[in-house]
Amino acid sequence: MNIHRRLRGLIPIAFYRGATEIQVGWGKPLLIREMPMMGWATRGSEELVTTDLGVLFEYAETFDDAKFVGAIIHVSRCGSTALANAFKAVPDTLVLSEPDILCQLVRERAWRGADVPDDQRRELVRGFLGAVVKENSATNVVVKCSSMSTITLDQTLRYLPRVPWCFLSRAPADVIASLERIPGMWLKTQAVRDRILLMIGRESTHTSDAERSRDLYAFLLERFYVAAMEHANGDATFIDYSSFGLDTVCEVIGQTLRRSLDDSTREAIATSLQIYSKAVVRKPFVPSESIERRTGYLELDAVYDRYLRFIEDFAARRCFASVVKPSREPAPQPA
Amino acid sequence: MLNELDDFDPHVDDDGLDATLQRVESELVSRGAHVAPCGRSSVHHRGVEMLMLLQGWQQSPMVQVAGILFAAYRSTGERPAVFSLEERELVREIVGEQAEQLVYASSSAESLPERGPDLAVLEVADAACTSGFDGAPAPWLHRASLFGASLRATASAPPVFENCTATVAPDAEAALLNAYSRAWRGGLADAGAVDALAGAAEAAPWVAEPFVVLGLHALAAQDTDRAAACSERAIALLRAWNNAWDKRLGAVEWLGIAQMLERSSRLASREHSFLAARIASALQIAAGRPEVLQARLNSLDLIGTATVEPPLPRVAASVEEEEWEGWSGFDLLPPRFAKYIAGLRDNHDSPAMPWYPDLDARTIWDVLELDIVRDLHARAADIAAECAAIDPARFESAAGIADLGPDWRIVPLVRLGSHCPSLSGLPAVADVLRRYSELRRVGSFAFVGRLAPHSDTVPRRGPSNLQVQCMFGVDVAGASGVTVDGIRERFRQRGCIVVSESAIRSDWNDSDREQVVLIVQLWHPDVTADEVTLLEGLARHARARGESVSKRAAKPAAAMLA
Repeated sequence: MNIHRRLRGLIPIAFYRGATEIQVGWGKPLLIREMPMMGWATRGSEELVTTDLGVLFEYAETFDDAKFVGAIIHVSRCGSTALANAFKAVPDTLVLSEPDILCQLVRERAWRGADVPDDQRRELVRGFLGAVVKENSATNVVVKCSSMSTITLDQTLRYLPRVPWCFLSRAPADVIASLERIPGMWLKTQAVRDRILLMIGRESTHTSDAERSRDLYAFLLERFYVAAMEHANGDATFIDYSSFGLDTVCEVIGQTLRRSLDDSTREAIATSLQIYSKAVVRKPFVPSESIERRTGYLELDAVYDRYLRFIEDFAARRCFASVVKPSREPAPQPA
Repeated sequence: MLNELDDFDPHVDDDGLDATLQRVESELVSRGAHVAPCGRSSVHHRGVEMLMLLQGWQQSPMVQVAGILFAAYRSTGERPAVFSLEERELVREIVGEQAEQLVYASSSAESLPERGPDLAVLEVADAACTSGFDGAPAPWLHRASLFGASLRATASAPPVFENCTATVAPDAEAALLNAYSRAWRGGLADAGAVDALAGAAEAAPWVAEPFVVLGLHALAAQDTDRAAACSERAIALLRAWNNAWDKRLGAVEWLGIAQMLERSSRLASREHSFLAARIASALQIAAGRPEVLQARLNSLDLIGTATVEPPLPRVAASVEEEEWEGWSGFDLLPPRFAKYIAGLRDNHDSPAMPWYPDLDARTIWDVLELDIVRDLHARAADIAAECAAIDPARFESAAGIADLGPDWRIVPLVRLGSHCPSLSGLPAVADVLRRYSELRRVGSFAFVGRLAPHSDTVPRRGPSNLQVQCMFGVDVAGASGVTVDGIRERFRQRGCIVVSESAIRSDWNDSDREQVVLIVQLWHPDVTADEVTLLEGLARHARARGESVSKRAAKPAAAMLA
């Protein structure tokens, strides 16, 4: 039987280490359009089909690169999900939000990246996209990367097909406060947090878990901002949380999709921005809520200041109206 | 909208159930429940299995939601905890107060029937989801029946154990397990095994699979009446449980076998021995493994797709069946085709019956599913060169052909199943097309088309869902493609896209030059060769009948003229 018939209805969900080679696990997507965050789960292990990497290479050959229109890179807790949802509000646009398998492909092995040869990663990313698109007809595909992919941003950009990418940032004090209130899934346990501290080669001088975690958040954010500045290129756009709003989002979306948005699409985006979609109890998205400007981490605060100046200069240098400068605009009000 | 969501409570609001279940699944998956082992599958899969059961038993949304998180706070030998007790507030936020209490109660180490009907339903469902390590039946009927008994005469009693009025004694369950296992192990060689299973199944007649096995043995012995009687009981039990007891096969697969047994009673007598021999051979080959048996029966095309909805009404009364001895092959028609034919009963509004039932509906197909695409890709350079070399002057208007419209000019290669002379000048194309016998079928066509610059054709839709169109880009360097149900797909240079005939589609060419495409119409990938043969036979029949009626209608007129 043609293996591709067996894969009908399934998408790649994970890599497995087989006896001799890497295997790709295929499972049923969970309501991928409505719930892209978790679109990579299976409906149960009985649906799991495994193939070798060759199948992904076949899908790479069928993937039309023109469909892949943009990537969202971010620092966490900065409106990236809201932007992804706003993209989702545009008809014919499929948003793949932090798909695990893709994040593994663009990350280095040390950062839980897939154990596949580097020279195959780009084709495997295309194969992944081709395999997902076979189940989700869409004119445009946008990918939201996980914030950990920002640490190795050069690699992330190298392995994605060349596309516009939007970097979302937020004042580090706000991000840290948010992470302390509800730790991100990717930093859920103290053991993981301590391991990442070791991996980024920074040492916390504190003994309490809370303070060590705070150190980690600060160090990571510093890395994120530095990476964004180092790798900013002609494909980049920046949105800082302080300037996040309907107009900036519509501008970025229009630029990414290379078309002007009609009124109904803008309306759909406005509606999506008013809803933060991760929770059943939805909260209005209010970017003007800033807690404290300074973090107390001198280096981090200095890097963020430098970053803000950088993105202003970047906008001016490119003489490109659609580069978003950090300026306040009225936040959308909840319905 | 915000208020609606804020006020959502799954136990009172069916509309919000999906959103809550999505949230629950997200939470489970984000916690790794989809890879955390639970029995033969994962914690997440077990939750989803519970959910399906509870939905089948028409339990309240609150119970369904609690079911997917059954025992989520408890870590046992079988499964790890998904939430810690410190996270009860989070779970409450996700599933609501009542469902969370039920989840909490289900996590208690000591679960007793007296602790409430909802919990008892969950316990029955959880028991029904368990199996041996290889999927073989495990002993849970006794325990489940005790929980079920506590639901006796309540509205929430699941439709099992005769609406929870019966209980299963431990020794009856043990005897059933032993006899069932022996019947599979011993196969046809162990004559006593079937009798033992029959006795045990009658003593504990609450699960379907023993009756399926008994029915198979009865059929192998050409006892179709007994096979049918067993199948009837099995089908009723499978529908009641909505799950398999022997999980080496899924419930739908068991249902498929049971339905085959049921159909066997309607076979002509001379077909009994034919079928019996095949069942006996399949039982022998299976060597105790239901999954092998099922695969074998499937490969013999005996099972077909299980119909989960109520079966179609019988076609004829018993008296008529006797008169039609020899026509019982109707029952062996592919189920989809049988269903299609059954549509003749009610085709007043749509006599052409354009929709063939139960075909996977996709607007754009995975090209790799079609073998012809591989062949086209393998010889892409030759095919593109040949098609591109066709003199543009030879292209004729496509008006009247497949509703393509005036923006297309074409050179036909296959028309109504016949190869056109132009194909002989394209050896690589001909070589590929000749390998596919379906392109010799009535109604098939293939052509090379040129789409005019700056065109956007009128949206069109094919006459049925039985066919797909494969479009191979010969020279499509400009921006051009097809819009299918609102999705714009670009033609691929020396590559294919495959779209459904039944989708609304239009072709577009934004470039300044003509785009050249090879278009091949193919049968839907799921339609079998047998179905194609039957559909062609039906078309021949309709055509012949139509011609006959036309001739008859013309005769009086001719006579009058004479």
